[in-house]
Amino acid sequence: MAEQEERYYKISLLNKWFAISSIIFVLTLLWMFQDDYARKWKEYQREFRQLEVDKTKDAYLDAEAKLLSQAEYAETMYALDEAEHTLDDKYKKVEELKAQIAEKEADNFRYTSEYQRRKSLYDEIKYLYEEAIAHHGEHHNTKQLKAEMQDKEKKMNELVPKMQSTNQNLKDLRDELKPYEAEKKRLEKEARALMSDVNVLKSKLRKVDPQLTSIGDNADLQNDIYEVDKRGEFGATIARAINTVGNQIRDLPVLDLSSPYYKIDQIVVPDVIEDLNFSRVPKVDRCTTCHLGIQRKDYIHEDDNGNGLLDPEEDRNQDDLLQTMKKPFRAHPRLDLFLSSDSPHPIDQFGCSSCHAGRGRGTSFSSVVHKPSSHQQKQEWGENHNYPTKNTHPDWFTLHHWQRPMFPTKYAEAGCFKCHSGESEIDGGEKLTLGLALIERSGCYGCHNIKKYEERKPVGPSLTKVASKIKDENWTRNWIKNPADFRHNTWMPKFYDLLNNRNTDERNDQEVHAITHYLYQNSSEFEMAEIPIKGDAETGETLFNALGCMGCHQISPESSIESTDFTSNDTDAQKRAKIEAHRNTMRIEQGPNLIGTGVKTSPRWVYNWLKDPTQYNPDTRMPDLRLTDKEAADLTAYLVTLRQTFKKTNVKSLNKEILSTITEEFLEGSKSEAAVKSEIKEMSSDQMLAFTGQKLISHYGCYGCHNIPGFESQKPVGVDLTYHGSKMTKKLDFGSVQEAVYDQNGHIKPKSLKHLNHTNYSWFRQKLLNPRIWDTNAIVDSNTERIANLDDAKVVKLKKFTEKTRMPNFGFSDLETEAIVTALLGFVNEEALSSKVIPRTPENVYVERGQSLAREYNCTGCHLLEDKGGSIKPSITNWLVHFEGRDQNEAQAVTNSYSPPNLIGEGQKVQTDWLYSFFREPMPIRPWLEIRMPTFNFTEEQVNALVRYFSYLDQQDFPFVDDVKPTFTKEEYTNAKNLLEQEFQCLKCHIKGNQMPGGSPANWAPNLAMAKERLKPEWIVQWLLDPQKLLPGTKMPSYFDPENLTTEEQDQIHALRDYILAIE
Amino acid sequence: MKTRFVAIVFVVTAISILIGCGGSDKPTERRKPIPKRPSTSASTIRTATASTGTASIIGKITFEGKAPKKWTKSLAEEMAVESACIAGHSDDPVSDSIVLGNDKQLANVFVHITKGIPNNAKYAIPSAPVVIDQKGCMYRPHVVGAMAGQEIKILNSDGIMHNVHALPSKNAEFNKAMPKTKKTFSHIFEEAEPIFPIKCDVHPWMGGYIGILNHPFFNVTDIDGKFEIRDLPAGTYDVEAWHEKLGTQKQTVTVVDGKPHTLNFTLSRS
Repeated sequence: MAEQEERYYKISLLNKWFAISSIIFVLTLLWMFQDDYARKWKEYQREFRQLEVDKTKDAYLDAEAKLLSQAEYAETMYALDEAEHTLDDKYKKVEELKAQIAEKEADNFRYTSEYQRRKSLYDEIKYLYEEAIAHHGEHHNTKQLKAEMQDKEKKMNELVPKMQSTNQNLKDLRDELKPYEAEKKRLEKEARALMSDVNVLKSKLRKVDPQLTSIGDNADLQNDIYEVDKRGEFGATIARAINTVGNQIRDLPVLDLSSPYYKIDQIVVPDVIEDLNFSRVPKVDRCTTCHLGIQRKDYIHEDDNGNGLLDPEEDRNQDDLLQTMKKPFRAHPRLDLFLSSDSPHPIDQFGCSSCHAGRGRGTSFSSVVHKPSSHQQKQEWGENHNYPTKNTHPDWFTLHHWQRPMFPTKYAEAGCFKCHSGESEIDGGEKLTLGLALIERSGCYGCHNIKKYEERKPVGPSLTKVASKIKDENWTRNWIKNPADFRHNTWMPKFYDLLNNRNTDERNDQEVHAITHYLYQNSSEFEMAEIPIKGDAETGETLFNALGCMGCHQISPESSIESTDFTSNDTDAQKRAKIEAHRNTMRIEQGPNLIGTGVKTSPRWVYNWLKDPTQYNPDTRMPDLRLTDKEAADLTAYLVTLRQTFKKTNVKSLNKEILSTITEEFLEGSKSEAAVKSEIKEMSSDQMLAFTGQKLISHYGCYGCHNIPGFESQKPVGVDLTYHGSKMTKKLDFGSVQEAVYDQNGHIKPKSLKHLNHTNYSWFRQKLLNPRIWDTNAIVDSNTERIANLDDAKVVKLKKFTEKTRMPNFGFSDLETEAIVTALLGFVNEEALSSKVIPRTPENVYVERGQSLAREYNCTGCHLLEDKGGSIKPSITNWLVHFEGRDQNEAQAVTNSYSPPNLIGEGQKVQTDWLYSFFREPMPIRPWLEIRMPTFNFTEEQVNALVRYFSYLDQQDFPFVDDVKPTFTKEEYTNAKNLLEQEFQCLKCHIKGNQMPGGSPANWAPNLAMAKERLKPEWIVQWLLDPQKLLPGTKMPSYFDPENLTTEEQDQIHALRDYILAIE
Repeated sequence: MKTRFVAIVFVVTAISILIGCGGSDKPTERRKPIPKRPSTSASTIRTATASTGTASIIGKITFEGKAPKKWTKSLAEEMAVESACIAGHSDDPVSDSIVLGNDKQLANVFVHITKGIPNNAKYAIPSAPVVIDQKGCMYRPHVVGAMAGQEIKILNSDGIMHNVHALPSKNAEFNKAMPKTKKTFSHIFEEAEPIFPIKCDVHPWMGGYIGILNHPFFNVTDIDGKFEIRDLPAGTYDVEAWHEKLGTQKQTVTVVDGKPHTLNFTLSRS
């Protein structure tokens, strides 16, 4: 035995280690295997399958019970049974018939084949005979052939009667059998029709229920899927067991590669490309792996059903299964707009993450970057998904390098903007629409460049002639200091007494002095006419209510905003209703709330403004109501009786010392200290005021919203917001702001204080609520997402005055903030695919332009347009009750007839040329309306865009070509005239040219002579046919029943139309 | 290893299927148990109606406050536009919004039961229509009640151009022209909806009200202010009296079979 080689290791020990590590490796392998196999999504799929089985089973059993209780079904089944019994009773007869048929069929076959045989023999001879004649003519041989042929023919024909008789026999027998079978067939068909619901559910169950799938098939199972075991059918029980086992086997590890039940479901959208920095790949969304009911109408949850997708009956009876199902299984709340194949956004063309963002390829909860809507949701998710909630890394739901995390559900509509950026009213994106409307209304674009709004006029009134409008400089100072103290719902934001300047009140007052000084120094004179007539305030009030002022202006001394704000318990449907209500409020508050007009300005200014608003401000959106001198004077008299005053604001008088320190600060930047000192010494107060005033206006960016002399070409002060949604979160300065969870007593819960969660939406929200927050040590309450220590928060950032944050506070409510954040998140720097956006045809572009103008000029304050608006209606009801003496019931019922006409279908209704001239110079059409269409100060481009908008909205050709030229015989003309005047008595109400109806003008109807210029001929036909359909609430009665229209009536309608079009 | 595993599974499955099939040598055609022929025909079930009773509520409604002026003159002036309107009146036309009897009894009050009737109760719908006539350019009667599904027949005794403009909120609105040639027009409201106005846009003073209910327990007071709700099952009910100008009042009553219960209301002008 050779001596062992010298080693530095022991084989035996090594063997042990080898064995141990092998075992560990095997175990690890198994562990890996198990871990890979037991993925969370499978749990969801299993649970959903069970839900599906339970739901379908319930439905199936219900359907079956319903079927069994149906008298019709019972009768059919009874009859079917009877029919079968009849067949049985006549069994012998039927059997006999069948035997006879069989026999006759045999005979028939025999005869037929024999006939065929003989015919072939005959054919052969016949051929030979024909050949012989053709070649040799008639001779002895042919004679023999002929004889033979005739013989064969005879034999052949002998069989014909026999064949005919068996055929007839067969037919008779079959006819005799037919009624029995037909009846049976009919009844079976009827039964099938009645059972179709049940059968559909049954076949579905056989796909999902593991016990019923077809691995171990059994006839009993096929027939009575759930009743069999009650009767103890052994075969069925076995079949169920086999099915169950088989279903488990197909999903076993490794085996599941062939045809598993549980598998990852993915949607590939080839034309949407995802940019992963180094590669561009098609979008793949695997969301439906867990969101299994997302496309299914039968999984709509009650809470989501604010769109009438379910009928109320179904809604009420929603079963417990749906009430308690997990959230991922719920259907999309707007299947009419999304996912389904007939919606505008089918799932196979859009996927999920194109709109919702997030990482669509992920198959686990955190890898798709779900984001919670609230602190509460974050806690729930943490618990449900076994994520640590208290550990050091609270943002477990952040995937660090994924730059497009999913939008929290409450901001989900942000995803619409990328493709719908041109639109103003986004269907299904009501929150986003509100956000955009708020951005427009509060004039964000004045200080922040936003590409969508580059062409828009500034939102505030022009200050170029302010000294003529507001004589009282003190009022202006107080207003700048605290606008909401004078008018609670003003859009003018607050610049002072905010988080980072509330401790410098004396300085603030001097700033206000300087700004006011600058404005008044640079104000130019406004030539005002004298009020020619003494106005009557009472008449003025009536006019204010009647003429339509309230489509844009309210007089509301008290704030009502709280009642419409979101609360933490609101369901989605309630939130939608509140958003809609808020839109309505915004419409009727388009112009300023007029409380305090009499304090703010002079009667003379009000009079001149009302007579022609463009005189004072050529850019104003305020239209001209074509008021007579008397009307304007009356309105003025009324408006100056409104005398709201400041409640607490009182700017202190000028203080030269403080003023000079401000001046010093502004001078410091460019000069040496000594130079500054000496320069200040030489300056008078007025000089300092003028200098700092200009600097401050420039600092705060007042010129973003107001025209101010000297700032005509200044750039906006704020950051560009065009792509703010794409701005990286790490580029946002969160300062030292913290968040914490508070208990009921207002104490911070232990260990809950930490830095504010770094997401762009939480930054946006805090910035909007308290624009100066980042300079302070504020603590945000995690639950309410509002500052908890508002009174104690201090400025902690060391900043010079000019470095401090300076955005003003707009006092947004939670609802408004949520809407604006939604819009901001939507401002992303991503190119929308041309195949996904609404095609950029001129038609669509004009529709979008029209929508935008309609919102800017508030058409929907008065009119119903694209199913939105008509917000003035409650004011009309109010007017009818308080100024026209009608009772509430009646007033409510007739409000529609006294409201501005709804503009749905306006493009089909009026001729384009007429509409153009109407915008330019509105004229009264409906004599009973007190409310007045004003003359808007539109540019040529705007009027043209609006006219086209109405045409294209109704898919009309532009421009309109009048191709109906009525021609009459004299008789036809007389008949039509008679129809109009005598039979239908149209002139009881309608004016015809100069011919007025009787009674008071309040009951008259539009002049028929206008129709030729105004209306489209085809519309007149539709109008006569069913006026209520086109304009619900109209006073025009219907003369015809559109459902049962006779040809005679059709002719009448056309005769009337032609007659009307011929009126001179 | 994998192949063997699959093979084993395959064999096990195959055997199970065989066993499964072995159990299925029963007749393949099995149908549901045949239900008994129903003893009553289905049609009788469908038209079954909830039961009525023998209790009733009777009462009187009086007006409190200053009697309104009769506006005789102004109405006659307005009506002067159309001679047929005046012709329809034997005396001077009187406004029909607050109509009082000799002793301040209030007519045209719609009295109906708002609570106490089972929600799913179905009552037979009277085949006779409710008739409203347009006479002297007024609706006669001024206030009517009808059941949902009951025909409402509108006549035009005036023989001039009227239009009937109904302004319900639940039911569909309609506005039907009744030129002189059209003598009658019928309409059926399908939904219960107390109570909504009808009006004529040609003659602005013409107004009336229709109340639609799911049950027959309603009445409109006559010129003596009297109403009667009959055939009521015993029970406790909320009774509401509605007047177009004077608003609504509600009372709760308990009625017993066979006995009329008296219930009076006083409506006042605020």
